[in-house]
Amino acid sequence: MSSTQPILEVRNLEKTFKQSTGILDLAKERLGLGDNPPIRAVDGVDLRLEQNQAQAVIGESGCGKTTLLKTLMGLYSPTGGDVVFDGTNRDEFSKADWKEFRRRVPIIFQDPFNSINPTFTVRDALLEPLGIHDMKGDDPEGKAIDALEKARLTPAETYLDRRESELSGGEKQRVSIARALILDPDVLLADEPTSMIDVSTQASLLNLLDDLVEELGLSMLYVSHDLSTVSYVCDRINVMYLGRVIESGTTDAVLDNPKHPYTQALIQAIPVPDPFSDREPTDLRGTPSDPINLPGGCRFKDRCPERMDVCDRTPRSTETEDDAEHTVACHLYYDHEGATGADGHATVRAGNGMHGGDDR
Amino acid sequence: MSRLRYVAKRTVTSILLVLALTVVLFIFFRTLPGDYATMLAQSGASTEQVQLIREKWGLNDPLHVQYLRWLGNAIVGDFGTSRGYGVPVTELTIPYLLNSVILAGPAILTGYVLGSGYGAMLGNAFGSRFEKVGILPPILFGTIPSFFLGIILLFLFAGGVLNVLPTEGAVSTDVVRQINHHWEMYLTVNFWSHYLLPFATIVLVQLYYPATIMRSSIIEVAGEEFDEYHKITGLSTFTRYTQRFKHASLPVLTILPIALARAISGLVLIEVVFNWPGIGSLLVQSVLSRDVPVLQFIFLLVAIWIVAGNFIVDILYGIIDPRLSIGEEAESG
Amino acid sequence: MTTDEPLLEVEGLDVEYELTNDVIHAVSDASFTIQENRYLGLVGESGCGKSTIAQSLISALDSNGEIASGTIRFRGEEIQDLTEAEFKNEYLWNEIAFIPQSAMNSLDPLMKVSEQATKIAKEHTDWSKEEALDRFRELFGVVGLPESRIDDYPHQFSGGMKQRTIIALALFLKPSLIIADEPTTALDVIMQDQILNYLQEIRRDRDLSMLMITHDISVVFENCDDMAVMHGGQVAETGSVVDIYTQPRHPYTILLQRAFPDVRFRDRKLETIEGEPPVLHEDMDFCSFADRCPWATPECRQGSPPLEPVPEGAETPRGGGETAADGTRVDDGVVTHRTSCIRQEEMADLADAHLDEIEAKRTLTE
Repeated sequence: MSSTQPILEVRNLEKTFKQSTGILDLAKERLGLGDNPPIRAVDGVDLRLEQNQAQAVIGESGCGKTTLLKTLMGLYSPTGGDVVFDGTNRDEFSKADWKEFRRRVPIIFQDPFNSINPTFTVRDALLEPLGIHDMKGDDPEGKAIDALEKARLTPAETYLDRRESELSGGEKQRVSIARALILDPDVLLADEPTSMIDVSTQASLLNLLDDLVEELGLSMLYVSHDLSTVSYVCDRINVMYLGRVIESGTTDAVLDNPKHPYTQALIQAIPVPDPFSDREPTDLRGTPSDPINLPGGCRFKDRCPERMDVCDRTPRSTETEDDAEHTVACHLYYDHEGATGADGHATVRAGNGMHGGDDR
Repeated sequence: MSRLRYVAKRTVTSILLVLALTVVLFIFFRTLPGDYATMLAQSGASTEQVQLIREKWGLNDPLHVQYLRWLGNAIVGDFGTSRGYGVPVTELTIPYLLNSVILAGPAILTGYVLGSGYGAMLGNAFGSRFEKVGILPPILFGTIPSFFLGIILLFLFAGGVLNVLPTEGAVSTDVVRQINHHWEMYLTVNFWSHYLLPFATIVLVQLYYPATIMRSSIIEVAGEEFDEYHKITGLSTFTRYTQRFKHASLPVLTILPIALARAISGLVLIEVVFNWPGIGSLLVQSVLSRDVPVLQFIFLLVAIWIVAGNFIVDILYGIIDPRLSIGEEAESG
Repeated sequence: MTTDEPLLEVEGLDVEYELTNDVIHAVSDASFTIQENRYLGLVGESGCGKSTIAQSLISALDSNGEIASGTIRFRGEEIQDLTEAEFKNEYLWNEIAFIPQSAMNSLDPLMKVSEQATKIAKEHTDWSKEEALDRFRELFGVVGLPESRIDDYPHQFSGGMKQRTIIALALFLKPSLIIADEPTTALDVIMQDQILNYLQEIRRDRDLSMLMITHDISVVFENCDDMAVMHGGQVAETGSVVDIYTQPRHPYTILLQRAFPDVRFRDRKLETIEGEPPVLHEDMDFCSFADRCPWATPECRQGSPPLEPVPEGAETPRGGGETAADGTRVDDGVVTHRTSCIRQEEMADLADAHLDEIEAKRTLTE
């Protein structure tokens, strides 16, 4: 753990959505007859993003990673918990603080074909943020060229007058990156930046993102569903499932030694480019439960091959035995001894869980 | 939730809406400039007579008491007496109402159906010359002021060019003398010859919205993946077009309440042009003569007309689009 | 048992799209074959022509597209010149079925899924409604869906269930060939695994070939028997999956494999391929990969490269004889390994280096 303050910290973040809001439903609520439970899209997420660190948030659709990202961006207000940026709680932000936040925490979107205004030239797209933040200075074009070079779009001058339709997918994504870099940011929020890019150009984009963290000292929060590419950019992985982070650790720790049954299944399911691979197909059936009517306790229990009775209680995030930085929210890894209020069940053995984690 | 629950929900909401509207209308009329009691009295009444009227009609009671009294009467069908004619409001308005409904109902519906059908043809023929040119007639008819269109039709068929149809009214005066009850009128050929031109006017005017919206709706649906899939699985053109129509009719249905509302204002003008004894004419008359009880009643009818229109559309939606009425179910396996 | 006659044979196919001022040569001189009971993976990146080929196989090209030349033979009969109606009568759905790219959105939201089935039956067969529903129920069972739910609407299903419904509909008339266009692209990785599993399940008890179109070579390596790699409208290499994995001979194939992440070897540096896929405005009478190829020579730009067989290596394919969990992996010599690189002999050395790399990694994990 670094002794310096994390640049972005999320504590017990919650974001819930109400369901339908018709007249009758409002009336029902007032009269206390409501049976419309809210959707707990993000339900108690903790993250610490240090300076100069890239962390991944991995999960399948519906896990809440997009909601998490939008809340971090400020598009949504959290319904619970705190977001602390550079030591200041966002609840205390003034309007000026918010503007600074937006400058220092830009976002790169997933879809390169829809992120840039089609009527803009590349120059326009890069100068727009400068204008918004009063950063034009004496040489805005110079800044634009500098940003393009950082995004490895060279020769930069040739790109300035091009329009979005004249760029390939990979080039568009680099323009988005340049647009973020031009503001001299601290944290990049990246929403599946390579999922819509061809494989042949994906590698250079991943390398770029990795180098940006190294060379410019940026931090990055990288949201994705693709475990195969995160290892090229991120130092830590957080795995989300139905609104909660169920495992968190260094990239190597999580990929080599996944503890949570869901993470294990996720890694197991990744196809391997080898006709001789002996990868077993996943045993996991079904899909994540409906986020509207979530049962109490562990949210994975309806699909978990290791389910036990105690899983009706929500597991806390606990450290694994051999690696304090590797945490997992699963009863298999709990020291249940001395748990008060346990409903008559004996303690679950603590330890490394049931799988060695090395075989595939 | 099941379809039944959906219908029940909509019914309750609609009734609540109408009740809310009655409150608004009531307050509106009671707070019009000019003292209500004075309006009820004949002109030239003395102050004492106005006082008496206040007593008689309980106009000194608090507003909500008056409202409840009004509501109580309304439920039994007593909406007061017409100031102008001296007969109960309901008795007075019903014949006019019938004339309007008989005219407007079928006309709007016909216009809508024809307009949708035509719009669907245009949409399916997207890109062809027919489609590019074919949208013009509905636009023309829809944007010419309806009363002007009425006058043109009168000129063509009842006056200058072809003197085939009668020029005004719902029925000729000699026929009126022959019938005893109002509704007998509808059985005469004479009535229907009077009916034709105003009917045609409304139909032509009403083509516009559904045609344009259906056309773009079909074009949109034609690009959807499920439409492609129907093509790939080899379904016949007829089946594909029928499915497209179902999808495309949803937006067209959505504007039906708007078309209905629009029709009301148009109806007033058309009834004036054709001298059709309908609710529009009555409305104009009542405004001019400040016949408040009648006005209140007509306003209420219009409000119900619009709420009913919305309600019917909601129900139709629920029937056509299962996504609204049948809720989503969680997966099992 | 495989017969000698291929189920589907594409030869020298050229497909063009006409734009207002331009012609796009989406597919140039493409050739590949699909044998009975074998799955072929058609791999390539965006714009390589794989979707266009799929559409031309089922006579579903956009109105501005046309097959300029070449032949498509199904069980020996030429089908590329058939009208839509002719194709529909003889082949569509009962011999060749289709799983579209965005399968989840392909179900009509206003129709019960059973209605989709009965409408298809009505169009192509003389089954009674009962027969059609019985058959559909049966297929629901095959793809693991509860039979009681055939009368549900699509929005009542999850994404994976919709996907499986589409698979059931594809099997409905017992086709010999199913074309699956990016069947798992829109899915999460666990669901993708489940669906790919089902695509293998349906091979059991059934004579079925599949043309699996995808940009993901790991899906092809794991699920297909044969593969064809496309770039810029041209077929770069075809052959069995084993052959291409062990002896890739086209620079694009070699580089593509190196560009793909492999979650088992996370330290390996990913290759980039220079440039972008070409835009195909002109007659492709040169190798479409030449501008991106590190080993291109001037000859590569003279004349459209022909697909030539790769001579068999002196050694047997490494790992030959092993079977994967879901089917044969042995290269039984059914499908010829062909490539369109004129420098394929030299590529052999490069490919050997590539192969050594793979061996080295394998030994690391064992």
